[in-house]
Amino acid sequence: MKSLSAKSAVVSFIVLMGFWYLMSGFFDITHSIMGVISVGIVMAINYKLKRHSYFEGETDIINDLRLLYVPYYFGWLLVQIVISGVHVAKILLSPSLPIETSVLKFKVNFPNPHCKMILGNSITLTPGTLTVDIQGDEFIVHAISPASFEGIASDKMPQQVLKLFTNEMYPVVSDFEVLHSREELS
Amino acid sequence: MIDITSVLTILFVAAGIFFLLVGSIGIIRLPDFYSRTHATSKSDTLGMMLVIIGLIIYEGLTINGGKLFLVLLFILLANPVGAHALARAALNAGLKPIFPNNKKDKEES
Repeated sequence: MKSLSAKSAVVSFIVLMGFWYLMSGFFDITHSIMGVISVGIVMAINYKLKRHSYFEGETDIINDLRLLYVPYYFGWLLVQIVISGVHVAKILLSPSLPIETSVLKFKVNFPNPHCKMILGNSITLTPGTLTVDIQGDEFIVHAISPASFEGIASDKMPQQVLKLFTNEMYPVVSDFEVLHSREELS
Repeated sequence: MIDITSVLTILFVAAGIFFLLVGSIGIIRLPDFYSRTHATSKSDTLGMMLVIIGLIIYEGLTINGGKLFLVLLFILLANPVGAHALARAALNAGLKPIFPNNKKDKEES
C-alpha cells in the first residue's frame, strides 16, 4: 500500500470532470451536479486500485512529474515521430528494401520506474524502433535501420525523459551494444 | 467554394492515408515478425495521428473536436502497449529476429 496525496486526488478530479464535460457537452448546473456525483463514485471505486502497489518502492507519479514540462515533451515526441515516420516510409517504398535490422541492448540509470515506462512507450511509439523487453534496468530494443536508433544511442531521448522528472542532467544510457547476429542474442 | 480548413483537412487526411498504405505495403515486403510489427504498429501511429488531426481541423474547436482528441490520446497510449506485448511474447516464445545482412542467418532461413 502506498499513501495518496491531496494533489493526486485533485488532479484525478479535474481530469475526470473534464472528461465528463467533453463526453456530455452540457455545461448547465443539473448536468454538472450529476457529473460531480459520477466522478465521486468513480474515485471511490478506484481508491483501492490507486492505493495498491504493483512493485516495490512505487511512488505516486503525480508528485514526481514536472507537469509544466509534459506538453513540451509531447511536442518534441510528435516531431520525432514525424521525422522517423518519413524515414521508415522511405525505406519501405524504395525498391531495394535497404533494411538493416539490429537488436540493441543497453542499461539505463533512472531515478524511478515511471521513467522506464515512459521511455519504453516512447521508443515503441517512434517508427523504426520497438521495445521488445525490459528486464530490470536493461532494455532490449529492435531497430529497423541504424538511423532509427540514433536518438537512443546519442542519449537524446532518455535525456528528454529524465528532464520530465528532475533538473539535474547526467548520462542515462550505459553499456550500449548493437547485436547483428543470432548467436549474440541469447 | 474553397476555404483553408477544407484544404488543410484534405492534406492531413491524404497524408495519413498515405502512411497507412505504406504500413500495409510494409507488412507484405518485410522479412520477419519483428520488422513486420514495425510496419503495422508504427505506420499506424503516424497515419492515424494525421487522419485524426485532419478531422479535428475540420471540426474546429467543438465538443466533437475534443472527443477526436481523446481518441488520438487513447491510440497513442494503446498502440505501443499492444506492439510491445506482441514483440515480448514472440521473444519469450523463442522466436529470433532475422538479420538480413548476416550471411549465416540468411542460409538458415
